[in-house]
Amino acid sequence: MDKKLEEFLKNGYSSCYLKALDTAAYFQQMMGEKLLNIVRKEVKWTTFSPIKGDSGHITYDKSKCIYAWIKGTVKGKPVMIWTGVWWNQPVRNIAFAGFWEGQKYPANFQYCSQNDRISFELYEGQPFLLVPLPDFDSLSGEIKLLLEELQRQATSKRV
Amino acid sequence: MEWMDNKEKMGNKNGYRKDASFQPQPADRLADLDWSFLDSFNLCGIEEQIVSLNWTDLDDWFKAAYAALEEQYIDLDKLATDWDKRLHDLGGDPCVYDWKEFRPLRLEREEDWSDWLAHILQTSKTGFLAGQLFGNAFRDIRIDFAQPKVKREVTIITGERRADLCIQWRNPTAATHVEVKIGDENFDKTFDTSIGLRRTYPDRTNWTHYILLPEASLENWKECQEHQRSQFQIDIAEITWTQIAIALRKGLRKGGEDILWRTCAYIFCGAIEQKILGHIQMNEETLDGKTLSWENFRGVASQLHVMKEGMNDG
Repeated sequence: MDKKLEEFLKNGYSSCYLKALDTAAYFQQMMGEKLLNIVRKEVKWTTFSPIKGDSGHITYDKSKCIYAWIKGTVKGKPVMIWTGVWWNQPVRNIAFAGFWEGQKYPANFQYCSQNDRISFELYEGQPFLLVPLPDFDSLSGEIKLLLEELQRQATSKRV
Repeated sequence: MEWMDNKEKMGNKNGYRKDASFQPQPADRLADLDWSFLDSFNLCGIEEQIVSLNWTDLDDWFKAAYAALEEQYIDLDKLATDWDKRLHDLGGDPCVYDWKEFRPLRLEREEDWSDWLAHILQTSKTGFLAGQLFGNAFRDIRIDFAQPKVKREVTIITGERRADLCIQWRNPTAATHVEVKIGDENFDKTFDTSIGLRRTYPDRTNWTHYILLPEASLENWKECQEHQRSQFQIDIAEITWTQIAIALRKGLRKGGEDILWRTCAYIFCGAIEQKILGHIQMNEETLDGKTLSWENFRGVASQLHVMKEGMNDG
């Protein structure tokens, strides 16, 4: 076997592999916490009303995404908002946000663009708003931007 | 979210999915290809993808993580002290005890966890816990969540499946079904069971359905839900064990329950936190002279979240 590869496996075997897994797990949890904090403490709620006392939850998945969910209502209808980061390296990381109505995506949600930086994407009927993240420091601002835009759409009779 | 990998189906408005534009060309179109693309071709981006066979790049990240964890541990210690005061009558925060070694009542199989949850819901005089967990789902009717009838292992009308928990609220039309998971990810039957349960109790017309699972199972559950949605027109919401622990802590803080309920809820909470969520035991004896290890990382992060949220009434 290649010497460099042998060295790499040896280092990973001794400790690095486990450290990397544990550190990644810690990163996922704390990144999720950060998203939840942004959603709960920094976003200005207009049409979406978060449910008092809802602890929200955090999910991370195989596709390099970490996202936070919170429950609430829009026009009296129970809706969940989910928002997170997709590590789309090496191209660019992306922040995304969407509604989850009942246990499905709102089928009639159509994004009417008001901000050129925000993209609207549909995947198998699932609507999302997306914005590229230039760096970590922009995370909070871009998540707020997405969620405020998402709420603006909810007033336009599309949700 | 497999969709995130399926980039070619998505848009390209801001240029961050340009990597998806390459598609293999059919053989009959090969003749049309030329090499002019090399005029503007560069390795930028591709170079970044070359994997370095080196762990040293991670050293700084490991150090930063450990430093952050140490700082958080101080916060955790303060929170635990606060909880000690609030739960003084029960012996302090549940984390002071070793619930992994708690054997008087079994907590090994999924059924054991279901039994505990059923008991705690059924004996709650305030209904606060159930209200926290299921309160938002009933839109049109007011539910009294106190002391419902909780049936375990209900055989559905076809006889093929059994529901873990069937909660019959005092309101004669309302019921909630909960499937309990602690690691098994055989989710498909949940949909069948939910529909069967509705048919088993036709007098109950207002149903809500839940699946209770660890965070780690959420992604596979969401995938299953996507696949099943076209076949079954039924809403099943997820609750995580983290949410149960938080709701139990809130319930323990709030007054109105008797000491028996609080004791059971306290034990259940401690067992969930250490056995399912991987939280660490914290008392002077166990922590004296010990340093945090890497495997504590996820546990401490989750523990901090649960303790903070358990205090949050807002």
